[in-house]
Amino acid sequence: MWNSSQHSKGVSRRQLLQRCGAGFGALALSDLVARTQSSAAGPDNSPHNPLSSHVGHFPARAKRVIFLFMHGGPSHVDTFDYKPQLEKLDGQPLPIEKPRIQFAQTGNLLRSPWKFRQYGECGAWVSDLFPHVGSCVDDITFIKSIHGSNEAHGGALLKINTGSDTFVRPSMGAWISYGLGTENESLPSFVTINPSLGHGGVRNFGSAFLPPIHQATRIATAREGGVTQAKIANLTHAQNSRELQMLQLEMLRELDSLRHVNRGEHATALHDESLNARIDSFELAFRMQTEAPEIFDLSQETEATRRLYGIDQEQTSNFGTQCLLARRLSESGVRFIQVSHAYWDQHSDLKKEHTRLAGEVDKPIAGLLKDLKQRGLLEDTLLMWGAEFGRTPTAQGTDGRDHNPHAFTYWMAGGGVKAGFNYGASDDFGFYAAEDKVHVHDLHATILHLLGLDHERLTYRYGGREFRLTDVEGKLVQGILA
Amino acid sequence: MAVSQVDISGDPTLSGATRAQQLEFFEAKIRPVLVERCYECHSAESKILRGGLQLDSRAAGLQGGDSGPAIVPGHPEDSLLIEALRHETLEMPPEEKLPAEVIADFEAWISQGAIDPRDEVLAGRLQPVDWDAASRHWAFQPIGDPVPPVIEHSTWINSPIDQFVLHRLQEMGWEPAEIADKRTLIRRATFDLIGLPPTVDEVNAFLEDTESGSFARVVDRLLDSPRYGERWGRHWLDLVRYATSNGADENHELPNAWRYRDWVVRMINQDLPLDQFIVQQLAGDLLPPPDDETLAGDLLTATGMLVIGPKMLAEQDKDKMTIDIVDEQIDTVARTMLGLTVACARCHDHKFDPITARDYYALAGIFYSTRTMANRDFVSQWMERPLPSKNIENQRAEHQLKVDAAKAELAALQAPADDEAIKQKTAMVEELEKQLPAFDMVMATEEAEPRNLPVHIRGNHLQLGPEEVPRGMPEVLTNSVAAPDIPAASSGRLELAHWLTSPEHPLTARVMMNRVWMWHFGEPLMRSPSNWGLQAEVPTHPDLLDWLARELIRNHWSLKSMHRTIMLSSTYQMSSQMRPTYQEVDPDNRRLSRQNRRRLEAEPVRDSILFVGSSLDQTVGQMADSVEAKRRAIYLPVNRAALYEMFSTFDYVETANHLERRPVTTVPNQALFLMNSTIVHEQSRSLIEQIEREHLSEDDASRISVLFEHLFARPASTFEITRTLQFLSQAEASLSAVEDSSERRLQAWSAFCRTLLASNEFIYVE
Repeated sequence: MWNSSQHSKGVSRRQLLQRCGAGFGALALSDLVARTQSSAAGPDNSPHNPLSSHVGHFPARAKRVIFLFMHGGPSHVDTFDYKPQLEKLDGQPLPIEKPRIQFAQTGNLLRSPWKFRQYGECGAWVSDLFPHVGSCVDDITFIKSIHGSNEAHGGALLKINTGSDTFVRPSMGAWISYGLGTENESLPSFVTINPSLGHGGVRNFGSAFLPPIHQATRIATAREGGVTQAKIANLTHAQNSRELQMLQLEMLRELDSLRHVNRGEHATALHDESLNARIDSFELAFRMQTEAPEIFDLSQETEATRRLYGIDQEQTSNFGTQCLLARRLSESGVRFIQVSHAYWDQHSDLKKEHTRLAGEVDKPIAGLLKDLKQRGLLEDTLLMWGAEFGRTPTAQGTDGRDHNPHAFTYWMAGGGVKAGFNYGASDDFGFYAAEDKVHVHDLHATILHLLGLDHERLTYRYGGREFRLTDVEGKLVQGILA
Repeated sequence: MAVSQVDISGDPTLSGATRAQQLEFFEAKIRPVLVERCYECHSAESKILRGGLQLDSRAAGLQGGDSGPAIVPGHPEDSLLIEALRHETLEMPPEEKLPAEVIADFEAWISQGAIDPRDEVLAGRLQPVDWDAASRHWAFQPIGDPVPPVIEHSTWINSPIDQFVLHRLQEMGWEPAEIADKRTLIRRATFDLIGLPPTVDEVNAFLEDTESGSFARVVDRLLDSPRYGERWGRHWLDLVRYATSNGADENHELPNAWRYRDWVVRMINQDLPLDQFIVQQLAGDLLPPPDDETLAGDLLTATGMLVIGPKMLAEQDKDKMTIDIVDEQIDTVARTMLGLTVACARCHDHKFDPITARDYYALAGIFYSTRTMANRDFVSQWMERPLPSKNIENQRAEHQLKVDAAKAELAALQAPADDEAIKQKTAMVEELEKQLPAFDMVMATEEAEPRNLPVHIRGNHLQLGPEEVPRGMPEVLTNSVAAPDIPAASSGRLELAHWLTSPEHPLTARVMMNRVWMWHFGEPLMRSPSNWGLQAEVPTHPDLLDWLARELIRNHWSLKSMHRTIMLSSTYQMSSQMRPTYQEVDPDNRRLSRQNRRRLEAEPVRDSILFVGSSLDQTVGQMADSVEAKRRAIYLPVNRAALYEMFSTFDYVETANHLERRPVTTVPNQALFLMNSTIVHEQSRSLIEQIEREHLSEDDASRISVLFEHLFARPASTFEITRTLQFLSQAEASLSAVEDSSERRLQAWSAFCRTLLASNEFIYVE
């Protein structure tokens, strides 16, 4: 287990000889193939690589996470949390008290414009916004009693992603990277695809006081447009051929060794470990250049797979591409992948915009779930769907709903959670979480648990005390564990 | 101790029989419920103690937790425990209310005196901080005035610093490292003071200056450079979480944050005494305004420090927003200046340090009585104040005459006859009003209505303690510096500022000198530079630290004089070469047997690459247009929500919090930047073209050496030249697809230049 007091220790004589005896050329080529496959090779204990794979506190049910994040807050009462009472009391005042703080004033109850129907053997109710996900409900656990604390996007995003809407804290993906490292040394451990740069921006996938290596590598962004531009910064340069880079790396290593021979430090094994680590990082970068473009090359997928994700249709092509990329990254050993879709903030135009947005994601999400399942990946991959909050059952105008952090729905599949299961409930209207309430901290504790991490023991020392993703809160939601 | 025994176990007047009955009642009805339903979170054994409350002894229940006493014997209606069981204010147990008859049992038990045999003394986590021990904590003692140890080693001693350091080395029988060679020294000093490499000419001038005092002349030259404030101002900006966008929830641009940054750079360049530097940032708006309007404006600008923090502007609970901003200010000020994590005491007394929640709310009152926000709108706006300007005032007055004249004309018109004219005139008046010349605005504070705050129970602004805490200073520190009186009509910021910068203050000068040492040596003398509480390690050289702090005060808080003091010591000038025997015993170099090897931070890496490519735009001040601009890094926008990728790649990550020191990580993205980024490719090319131009008649061997001098401040060795020539021919061969031979050559040379920029020798300072 990686812990914060661990610093780089002195380099062994054997390592030193290995490093200096052979030039990069000799070392790298034999090593290259083996190390890109290191997910099968068990943890690498090199002292300077905080991303090397670690073992958790107890056996993991999930090895990796794909988090489909619906930025803006889709309406739970129009998607997965069916409320017949809203039909009956449409247009009437909410018979219970509204919260002390509201983002905006809302009026009377508003029935869902969509029809709900039951799916699968478990009979889960799903609205007509998500027929494809509906066809997968027997693989899903719905949690309908999630609640948070912040009624504005920024605070709520930070709460979901970092556990705190008050302080600057590391994001969930960074904690998981810190706790488990990566399964593939040639790739980052935490990747975020198309994240929002507003509403907390980089803090939502940042590392705060954790070592910066645990922050997400950003692939494209909302601002840069679609995922067709998927890239890691500075991965290649037109004037740097592979051959030329090999020459440079060889030269780099030699110049560096030579200098320390001249300084009289070489022979005494005093060559600073951080200097070696730096040269190693160049080799890792070099391997990344080889591995990453291959993962981004979706042309290797069959036509059937592309159809499964809806990549062949204009409406679903963009999000489908992101979901497929998420599967490929996940398959290659990336620990935590967040895919964002925007912008589900329907204070008005609920009917039109929710229809459009759901149309963009429904098929790709179902495609991803089915694909993971057919490849046997779902068993140890946790697929999770949710947002920063849900929406009020009361209306804003005639065709809109306000933010609602007091009750919303998350669903999970694979990775050690029950299949075809419902956990918790909101009240009759969907305004407040009511039964088996699951706070955001509890959700975090449970995700860590599925990954084999005890949320009370995954700590990092900073500014004089230990910190946790769940701060002093968090209760494991036993009920959803398979 | 019969009395205390009775006090703990219950009412002494009860007859034996009644008492036995009541104990039986406790064992039957109360204890099992406590054990089963409460101990998980409220006992010494709890994994996490909730609400600071233990219920596993009578005394603990009487003492209570963060919300106050839980049990008031004889008075169930005043006992928080009962309130909580009834789910009135608190809701305990949180999962479900206990059955009514159980609650009735508790009421009966308390009304009969809460008889309880569990007379253990308070155990475990409720032990309060030992105040006597805490007040003896070394960091809270007055700064000493140590005499440098007398040492027989006359040739090495250049400064009292050396006496302290050598003394500690001699305890081990160790020798200090050799003084570094002149090339290493000038490279080290130049990066240290201005964050750029020395030019070839500067290196040569230093080598040729063989008179004594040559290094002092280099230091003075660097301290006089306008680049110096850009380097050392940046250090300060890390501490006070400078950025040009809000981050947090609504990432609004902070269009005037740069004025505060420019003030920092200017004041560091002018060597504004550090005590004044601190006072002005905390309370510049409260100092008597000077007649000179620039100086008066500077005092306002300085308080931008309090305003530039991240804020949840769209938080709809505006009271929470306000107190969160206060918290953010306390955290920044306390960690930066006091070196204490005072903000830990927001929700409860500090777990490790003698800082109580009362201390926290005493400070919070000061910042609560300060206006940081202009309004509490849906998306709230921070305070900005106009910079005083007679010129703009005059322009406004002049313009106002035009407005008034137009208004008078408008007033003279008659409806409905002049309807068309009225319409035109009205538009004209509006247009004129818009054109009123605007003052330049700065982010700045002003006094709000002074008020004291009650302790917020568990940091919750909706759950206030019973009484207000007078505004004031953390009590444990007032032994050394008496707490100032805060006039009822003032926030107390000015008093706080003067108290902090009192020469008697045990922390401020020490905290500052420890940081200055860290920025010169890579490691501070006290290893947790923003946490001087009970958990802090004792400094490696306590006397040296105190001597430095005293010296700072003796030198009227002049930072520049402290640079000279430190840099002219032999200690600073030691080589960074490691020795095997010392390294074995002291791997972290705590004894200072050598200088530390230091990796450059993001800004010097970027600036140096532009500098060696002759592309660095050295304009001073104001905002660079974008992160692509070739200005010095300190002038680039710092967007908290979308940090410039190069910055975050090289460990400048945290822009929303006080940052006590930059982490040093080694990640592949840094390598990718140095191998493939546009800036590295462009500048390598530019440097190579420049060398080709300037050394037309020379051979490749001497050009290679010149390149080494540009980047490493030293010529290349014979072997390096041979090896480079080999590289160049291999590289040219690999570039055979490039048809033009001179282009091919340039590309091969550029690749070599990139290799040097990527090398450890470029990115580390020895």
